[in-house]
Amino acid sequence: VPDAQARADDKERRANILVVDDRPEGLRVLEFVLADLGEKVISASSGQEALRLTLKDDFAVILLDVRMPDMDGFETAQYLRSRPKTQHTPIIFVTGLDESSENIERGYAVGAVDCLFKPYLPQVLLSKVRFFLDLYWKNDALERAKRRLELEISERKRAEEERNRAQAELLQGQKLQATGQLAAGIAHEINNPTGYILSNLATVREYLRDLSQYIRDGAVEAGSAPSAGGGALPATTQAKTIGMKEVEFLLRDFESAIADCITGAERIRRIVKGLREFVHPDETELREVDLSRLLESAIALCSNELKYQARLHHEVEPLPKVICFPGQIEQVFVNLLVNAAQAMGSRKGDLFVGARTEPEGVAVSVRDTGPGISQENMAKLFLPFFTTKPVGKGTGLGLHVAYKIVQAHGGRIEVRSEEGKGAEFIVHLPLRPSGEAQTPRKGDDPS
Amino acid sequence: MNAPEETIANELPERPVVVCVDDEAAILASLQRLLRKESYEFLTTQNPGEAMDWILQKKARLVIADQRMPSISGLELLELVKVCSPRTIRVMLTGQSDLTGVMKLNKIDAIEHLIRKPWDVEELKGIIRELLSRRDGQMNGNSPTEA
Repeated sequence: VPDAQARADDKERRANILVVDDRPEGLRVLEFVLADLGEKVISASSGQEALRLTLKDDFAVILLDVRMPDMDGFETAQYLRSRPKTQHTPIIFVTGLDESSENIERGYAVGAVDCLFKPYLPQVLLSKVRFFLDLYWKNDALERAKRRLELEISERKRAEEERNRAQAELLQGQKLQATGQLAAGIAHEINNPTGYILSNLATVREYLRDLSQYIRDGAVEAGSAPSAGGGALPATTQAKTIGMKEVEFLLRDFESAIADCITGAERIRRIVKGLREFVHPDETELREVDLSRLLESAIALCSNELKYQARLHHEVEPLPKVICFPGQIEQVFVNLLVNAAQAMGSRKGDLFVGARTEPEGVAVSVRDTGPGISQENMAKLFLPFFTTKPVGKGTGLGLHVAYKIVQAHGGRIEVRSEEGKGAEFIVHLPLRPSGEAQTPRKGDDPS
Repeated sequence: MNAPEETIANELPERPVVVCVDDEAAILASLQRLLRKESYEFLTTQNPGEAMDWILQKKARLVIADQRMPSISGLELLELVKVCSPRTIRVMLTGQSDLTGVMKLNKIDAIEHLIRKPWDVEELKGIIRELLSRRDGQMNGNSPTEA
C-alpha cells in the first residue's frame, strides 16, 4: 500500500487535520474522536483563524462547521478554494441535520467534498476522514516518488553533462598536445619559405634598382645622342650601365624569384589555414566540407613529420561534401598521419593516403609500411592511454580520440594490419552524422 | 648547380669556396641569388654526399648545412666535416624555432655558427664575410681576393 509505505519511510511524519468550530465543546469532541487516527489535529475557533493556519501549514483534510459568527463555513470555504495552496484540500462540512437542503447544496457549490450531520457517529466521522487521509498519503507518496525521479533525472543529466564536458576536454587536450607535437615542425615549415621569400624580396629589390638604372641610362643615352653630336656623354653614366647579358639574367631570375615567393607564400597560407581550422576550440556547428581539402590541411600540418619519415603517396578522388565538425575530423586525420609516420620510425617507409566514395558515405585511408600491429595489440588499439611508443613520444590518446570523434559522427574506423607488413586505418564517414550526433556531442564510450 | 670553373692561372689567388646544402631547392636558389656578387664561390646542392665531395675536393672554406634533411641531419654532416675537413668553417642553418633544441645545438662544437631561418639578408652576408676573414690567418696565407 503506497500510503503505508510512504509513512513507513518516515515514522515522524504526520498529516495535519484542521478542525474549525466556534464552540469549544464542538472542537473538543472532534479532537477526541480524531485522536485515534494518530495524526496531528489542529483546532481553529473561527474562519479567520482557519485561514491563517492554512497559510502556514498543509492540511490533509479540513472539517468546517457551517454556522459560525462573523465568517461562516461557506465564506471560509470560498476563501480556501480561492487560494492555490488550499484549492484542492478536501473540506468536510459539519452541519446540523436540520439544515435546509438549500444550504447543503450551497455547501457543495462552494467546494465541500462531503457533509457530516450532527449528531454524528464517531465511526462515520473516522471513516470519512480516513478516506481523505488515505488519498492524502497516496498523493504524498506519488509526490515524493515524482521528486525522487526528478532528482534522479537531474542527477543523470548532470552526470551526462559532466561526461560530455570531460569528453570535450579530452578532445581539446589531445588536440593541444598534437599541436604541441606538431608546433616545432609547423614553425620549421613556415620558417623555410619565409626565409627564401624575404631573401628573394631583398634580392629582387636590388634587381629592380639595377634594371631601373639601366632604363634611365638608356633614356639619357637616347636623349643626348642626337643633340650632343658625339663625345659629350658623361663617362660616369656609361660606367654604371649594366650589360645586356646581365639585364637578361636579371629579368629571367626576377621571374623565378617571384615564382618561388608565390609558391612559398602559398605553402604558408596552407599551413596557417590548416592550423586555424584545427585548433578552433569550441566547434559547435556542423559544416558541409570537402574532405579532400581537410585531408590536405592535415597533411600540410604534418608535412614536416611526414617528409622526413615517409614518401607520401596521395591519391584522392573527387569526393561528395560531408557534413561534419571539420576541426574534429581534421584532428582524426592528423592523429592517423602522425601515428603512421611514427610507426615507420627512422627507417623511411611509404605512406599512402587515399579517399574514395562509398555507397553510404566516404572512406579515407591512411596506410603505412611500418612494423604493423600485433594480434595482441589490435584489441587494445583504441583504448585510452594505450601506447607502444617510447615514453614522451605518445600518450595513447590519439587513436582513442580519433575513434570517439568518428563514432560521434556516426562512422567507424576500420583497421587492417599484418605484423611486419604495415597497417591501414580506414575512416568510414556517413555523408551526414547519424542520429544523436546531430548535436555537438562528443561521443560515447568505446566499450 | 654551377660547378666552379677551374682556375687557369696558378698565380691568381683562388676565390674561397663556400658550400651550402639544404633539401629545399627554393632555399638554395634564394641564397644563390643573394650571394651572387660576393667575393667567394657559392656552391649549392640538395645532396649532402655531393656537398661532402665538394668540401674535400675544392677545399671549401665554409659549409652551410640545413639541420633537417631526409637522408642525414645537418649536425651529422657537420660532425663529419669536422673530422674530414677540420679547417672548413661549419655553419648550421635551421628553421627550427624550438629554443631548447637550438640551445643544445649551440653547445655542440661541430657547429661554429648558427643561422636561423628566416635570415636577415645583410646579416647573413656579413656573417659569412666575417667568418671567412676571421680564418684568414690560419689558411696558409691563401687569402681571399676582395672584389
